[in-house]
Order: sequence, then C-alpha cells, then structure tokens
Amino acid sequence: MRAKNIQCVAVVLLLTMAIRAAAQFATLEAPAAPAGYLARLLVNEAAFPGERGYVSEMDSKAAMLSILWVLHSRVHHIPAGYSQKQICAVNTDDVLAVITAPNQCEGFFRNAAGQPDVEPRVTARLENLLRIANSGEAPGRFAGLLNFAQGLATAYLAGGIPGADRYAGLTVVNRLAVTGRAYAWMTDQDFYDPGGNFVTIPDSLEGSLGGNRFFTLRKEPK
Amino acid sequence: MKRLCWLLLIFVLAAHWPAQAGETPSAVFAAPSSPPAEVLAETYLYDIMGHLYRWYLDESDIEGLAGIRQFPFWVRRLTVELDPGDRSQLAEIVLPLLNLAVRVKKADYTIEDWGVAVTSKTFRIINVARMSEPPAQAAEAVEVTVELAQMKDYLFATRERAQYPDDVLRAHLRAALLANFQLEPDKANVGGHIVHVAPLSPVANELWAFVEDKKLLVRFAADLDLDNPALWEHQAIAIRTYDLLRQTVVSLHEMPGSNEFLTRDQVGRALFNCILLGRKY
Repeated sequence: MRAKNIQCVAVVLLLTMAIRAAAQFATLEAPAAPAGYLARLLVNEAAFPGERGYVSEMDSKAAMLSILWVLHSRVHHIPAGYSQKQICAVNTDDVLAVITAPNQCEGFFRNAAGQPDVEPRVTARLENLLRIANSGEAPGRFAGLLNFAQGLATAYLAGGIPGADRYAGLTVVNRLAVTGRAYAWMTDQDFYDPGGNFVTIPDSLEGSLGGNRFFTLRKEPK
Repeated sequence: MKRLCWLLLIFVLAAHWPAQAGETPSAVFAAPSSPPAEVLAETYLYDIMGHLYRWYLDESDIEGLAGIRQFPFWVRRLTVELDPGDRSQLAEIVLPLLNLAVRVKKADYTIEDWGVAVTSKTFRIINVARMSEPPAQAAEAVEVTVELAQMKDYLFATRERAQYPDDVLRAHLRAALLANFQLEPDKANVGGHIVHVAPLSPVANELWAFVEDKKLLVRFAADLDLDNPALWEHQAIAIRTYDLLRQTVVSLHEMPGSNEFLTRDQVGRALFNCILLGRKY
C-alpha cells in the first residue's frame, strides 16, 4: 500500500515537472524567417518591464505597432516631394530591406552572405526576455509582449498592416506643416534632433511610446 | 489515498493552466493631483540641475541666463495609463528659461514573470527633451522658483563632486563587461582593459563606462535600481553600447532618420563624465 502511495505521489511530481518543463509561453520564429526577423526588430525597439522607458504593456505594444507603421510608410507612403532613398537610404518594396538598409536600424544588417542578421547583443537581450517569459508559472507580460510582436509581424507579412496609424492624420506640429505618418523613431535621445526633414512628434500628440520618440516629416522639404 | 492523489493532480493542473487572454483587470488611471512633494523640493531640483549641468547644458545655456534673478521650474504630475497594480509615479519638470523638459519616474511595480519588485528610492530621470520653442505652462503645473545666483554658486561649487560605484556594483559591472564583450578575463586581471566609469547621479538610474582600449561606450540603464542584483542577473536587458569610432557623427543631419549614431557633442559629454570626472579601473 505504502509503495502504491509513493508511486502515486511520484507520478504527480513527475507530471508537475513535465508541465513546468513544457511551459513555453512565448516563442519567436527563427531569425531566418521573415516574420521572425521582423518580430526581433519590434522586440528590440520596445521597452519591457524593468527596462528604462517602460510605461505599460499597452504602451510598449503601441510602440511596436508604430514602429511597424514607420517601416510600412517607408515602403508604401513616400510623401510628395521626397524620394524613398531620402527617407530610408534604400529603394525597395521589401520591408526587410528597409530594416537592413545601411545605418538605419542599429543592430540589424545583412551579413557577408547577404542574409538578414542581428548583432549578438540583440540576440542576448532576446534570449533573456524569452527566459524570463518562459520561467514563470503562467504567461505574464513578457510573454504577452513577445507573442504580440510575433503575431504582429506574422499578420503584417501575411496580409498587410493591421490597426490604425495614430500619426496618419498629423498635418501641423509646432506650427510647422508636416506630411503626417511617422518615418523614424529613436530611443532615449529627445535632447537631440534626428536631422534632415524629420520633425519631432511631441508628447501632446503621443509621440513618445515604449521608450521611443517618433518623427514625421516637414511638408516642404528643406 | 487515491482520492488525495486525484485532488493533488487536479490542483497541479489548475495551477499550471495558462491564463486566458483578457483575464487581467482593467487598466487604472492615476488620479490627476498635485505634483509629488519630493519633486517639488528645492534640493531635488538642484540635483536635477546638477545632472543637466553635467550631461546636457552648454555655455550658451548659462550665458542666456544673464540678468535673470529668479529661475522657475514648472512641475506637474503626469497622468499615464499604467499596468494593473503598477503604483509608479511620473512627473514632468519644465525649465522654461532653458526650453528643457525632464521626465522623472519613481517605479513601484512587480514583474510577476520574473518575481522581482521594481521600486525606486527616488524619482529618476527617464528622458530629457530640448524643446524647439518656449513652452506654455500646463494648467496643473506648480511653479517653484529658486534664486539663480544661489543655484549657480551651487552648480559651480559641486561641479567636481562625485559618487562612484561601490565594490559590489563594480563587480557586477566587471562581470557584465566580460560577459557581453568577450573581454578576456586574464587580460583584465593584469589591467589590460582600461575602463573609465562615470560618477553616479542621484537622479538618474544609469551607469556609464568607457572601455578605452576598445573605444566602446557602455550605458546600463533600467527601471530596476542599479544596486538590485536582479538587474545584473539579466543585465543584457539594460545594456546599450556604442562603438565610438563607427557610431559618432558631427551632426545627426549627416544620417537623417537613423537611430544608430551619437553626435560628437554627446560623445564629448560622455567622455568628460567617464574620463575626467570618472574613475579608471
């Protein structure tokens, strides 16, 4: 009888461990897959709990969506008076090429074989985020943010951009006529101007999301 | 005993069943109210100015204050939508005579995934913005005015004052540098790597270091306090690095829209803090 009881408890404990081991609350597609690469950029650019710039899960998700809109606008919504190359240093209809354009998205580039690649620090941070997301007893905010990024990237590449562009309707910023939509973002660098024809979208117009500042363009290029 | 086993099994399964989407309680809004008292304190505002003096202000900023006797700060509590259970407070301090806006945060939340409490001892700077034109005072902002001459004297008198990382923090920093940049431990042990660490700021939760032989600028910044061991357990989330030879430009206008570069001006300030005011290890 005692042996049976011990057996029973052992089964329960083993089951517990198996469930824990199997808990995979967040996953990203492989970096070689376009949706996996795009998801990595969205994750890389948004603040997670505990990081500088973190406000809330909703704010960081909004930042990911706005970053996706920047990439999308750089491909599909080049304003009159601008060439695509002026805005994102490349002529392309491929959003991955916008990400890997020279000197545009820090840590994202094409390697010697011409494949999209990321710097080791991007991978190191991502591995930490995944470890935290998958170490709890139930899916939490880390898992929510990682899965949101992957879902957004997959949905975008499969069927276009979801959601609304919060900056699409911008016409004037600080009495300066602007094109609307965002065309750049920067992290933690509000003290400095991003250069060229980029115009800071102020806090009053929700220009600061997930630890990033977003920028639109002057209506009349300088 | 069999029944007990089944109960135990049901309990275990229930405890590990993934939470359903939408289970979280609705978001809360911090009630609009007066600014937090500690952000209104003159000593705190002096510390903010001390930080700006080291990291942001130029001679033209100081010269532009000629003839001014009273220096105003406009302070307001920021009402932002936080995660459920997050009791963090945010405030904005506008320096209208310098066209600067400083955002500060006193974090107070728990990262449940991680089992870590994120609590700041004081309000810490999370952003500094230079405004393109003179700002208008927000209706809810409280004006705190200080004697400019007195504040200038304070800034001048304390311009060399510095607090450096203690042994524990230095050990964390060393381990993080070795882990992240493949710096060779043996070489480090014989002093092969020259690392300059900037003084800590009482109002910014960040640590800057310059690895001289790699020409690498490193910043650790997080909501988690630097002295919280949890931060260093997952330090990859707090690091930002700059290869100064490759990532420095005179003006960001050279590479408009890129998020990859620092200006020479920014780099100069960082090196001033790391090398001149900092300590070499």
